[in-house]
Amino acid sequence: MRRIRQLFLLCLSALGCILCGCEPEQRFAWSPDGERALVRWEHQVHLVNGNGEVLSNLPDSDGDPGELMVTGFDWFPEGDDIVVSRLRVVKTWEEARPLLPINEAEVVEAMADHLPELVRVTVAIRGSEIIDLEDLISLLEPKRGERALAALALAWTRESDAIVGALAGVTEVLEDLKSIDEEEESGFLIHELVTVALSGDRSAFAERSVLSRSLRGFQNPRCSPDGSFIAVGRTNQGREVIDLEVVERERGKFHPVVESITAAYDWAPDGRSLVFLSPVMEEEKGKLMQLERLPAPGAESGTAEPQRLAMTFVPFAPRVEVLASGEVLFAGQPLTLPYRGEEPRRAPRLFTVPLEGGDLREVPTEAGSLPMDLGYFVPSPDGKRIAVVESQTDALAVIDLETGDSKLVSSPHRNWKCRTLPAWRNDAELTYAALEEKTMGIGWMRWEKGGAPRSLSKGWPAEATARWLHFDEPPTD
Amino acid sequence: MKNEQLESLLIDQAFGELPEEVSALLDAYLAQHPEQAGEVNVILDAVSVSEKAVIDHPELVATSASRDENELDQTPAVTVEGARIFSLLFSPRFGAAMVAVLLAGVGGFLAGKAEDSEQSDEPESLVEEAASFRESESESPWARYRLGEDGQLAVVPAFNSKS
Repeated sequence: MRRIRQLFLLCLSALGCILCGCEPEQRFAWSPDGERALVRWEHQVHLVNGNGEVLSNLPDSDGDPGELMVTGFDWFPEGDDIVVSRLRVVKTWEEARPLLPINEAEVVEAMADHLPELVRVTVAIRGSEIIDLEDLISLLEPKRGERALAALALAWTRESDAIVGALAGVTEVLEDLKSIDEEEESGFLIHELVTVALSGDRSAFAERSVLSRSLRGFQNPRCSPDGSFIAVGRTNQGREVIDLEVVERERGKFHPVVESITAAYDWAPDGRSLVFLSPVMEEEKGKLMQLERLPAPGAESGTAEPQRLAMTFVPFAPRVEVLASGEVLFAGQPLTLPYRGEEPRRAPRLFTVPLEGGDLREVPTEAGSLPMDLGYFVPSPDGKRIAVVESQTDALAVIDLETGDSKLVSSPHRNWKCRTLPAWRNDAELTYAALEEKTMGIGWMRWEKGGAPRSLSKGWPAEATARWLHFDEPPTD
Repeated sequence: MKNEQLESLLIDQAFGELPEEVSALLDAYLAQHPEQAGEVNVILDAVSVSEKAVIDHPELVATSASRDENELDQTPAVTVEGARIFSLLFSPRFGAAMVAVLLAGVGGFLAGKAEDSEQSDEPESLVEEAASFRESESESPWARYRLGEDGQLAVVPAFNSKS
């Protein structure tokens, strides 16, 4: 894993934040009928049944070079197939090149041939703006950067001395590159979007089909309600915004939807539109956001302007969920300007707005029942309740969206922090990561109203759930 | 013009409550009566002090936005009001009462105990609401945060948890 961590110094992908485990993330997802679940242990996906018994593992290698790391997944509506976003870590350019689209490979090689001069000119003109490797990449290839990153990695393997000379004076970038070189850690990250079929009895992973490979990242794949499309975020190097695209499941053809939005998006229940949050101003983690809706490709002919549903201030991870009723659920921090830094008088709230637009409705929760870090909530399939966690404690609560009533399902434990989004098995059963009271080990727990939580991860190796919660070592005196 | 009338007009002008033409007439009057400059400065200084007090302690003040917070159906996720800064900060009645008290020589920080008891209900209810929110948070399982001036959340150490 140290090797992978070192590679991230070079890849600088927006996915790095997801994979570093800094916040709650998706680690399991139930099939629509609740009989099977995909569970991610570290970066490998396992198929389990309703009792938590492991049925099959998705291999971390295949016939092509490189190690595979899963970053996201979703079920198709029929429950027999899944879509997976993953990284392929390839050691050499000679191994990576044949796997890449020809246009990407050619651009990388052309840039690498001239990279020392490009770097020298960039440093000469804008050296004062270069603090780290990420800054250099964003100047070499504004907005995206993944090809410049690969070109730098390729040029480094061919003529590192020329690169060092071009970076004279840019100490931190040089140190990053040299440390990777000393550890022999250089490599290339290829992002893949793959569909995987299950066996007839749904007890094993079966054939895999690569929809796309690219140097540019895929994140958060979400299947359309009818399963014919997959919405996926395309990452932009060094920027927090993504470009939303939709890919046809059968043909693998990509359609752009909208650029420079947050990672928060969801399908409408009829699959004819997508709802998303986009920053009003992108610069430096813009917190003022617009909730918008656009037709999905193929739903309407011609281009369309986004329909604005609401504006909201989001000083935490943005999140959007379209409920089964067609209401759009999102969170926002009520704010009156001007203000000074302090604990705000009103805590963040959950709101709904009709998909077609209309009045906002605030979920009537009591003070203190929602976290301020209100970016991690998951609705039940019927859209009547949500499970909510936060990044700074391991508490979990269930909220009734109609009444605002809250139920603390998992109490917080000192110094423990949640790193796992909960997932509903069905309208009544919730699964989540928690400390098991008897063993104080991290377990995959199952809860339903009126019942006692029980573990689904008995017999799993400890490392399977080791990163599902995070323990903050208290400072030593 | 009597001092009381001048005070009232200056306060209204400071709050942006004065119609444009009246404001222009007031400016013209002040230009023609420089002997009242001293009194004008005292009034404007007091308005500035009360503005700072309300900025520092917004829980003291019932604003139109916060009153609307009780009308949940009409509450937008973000309330951003216009360039009339005083209308963001002051209930005209309470703000005027604060300035009046300051003009009477009671300076410094006011802990929400306005002399006008008719107007004390709004700030006290807001203080109570803020206090109950804090009390609820002391029983809340969630972490506490500050919302910085840069819009970032920063954790406030200490939360209610099992050891």
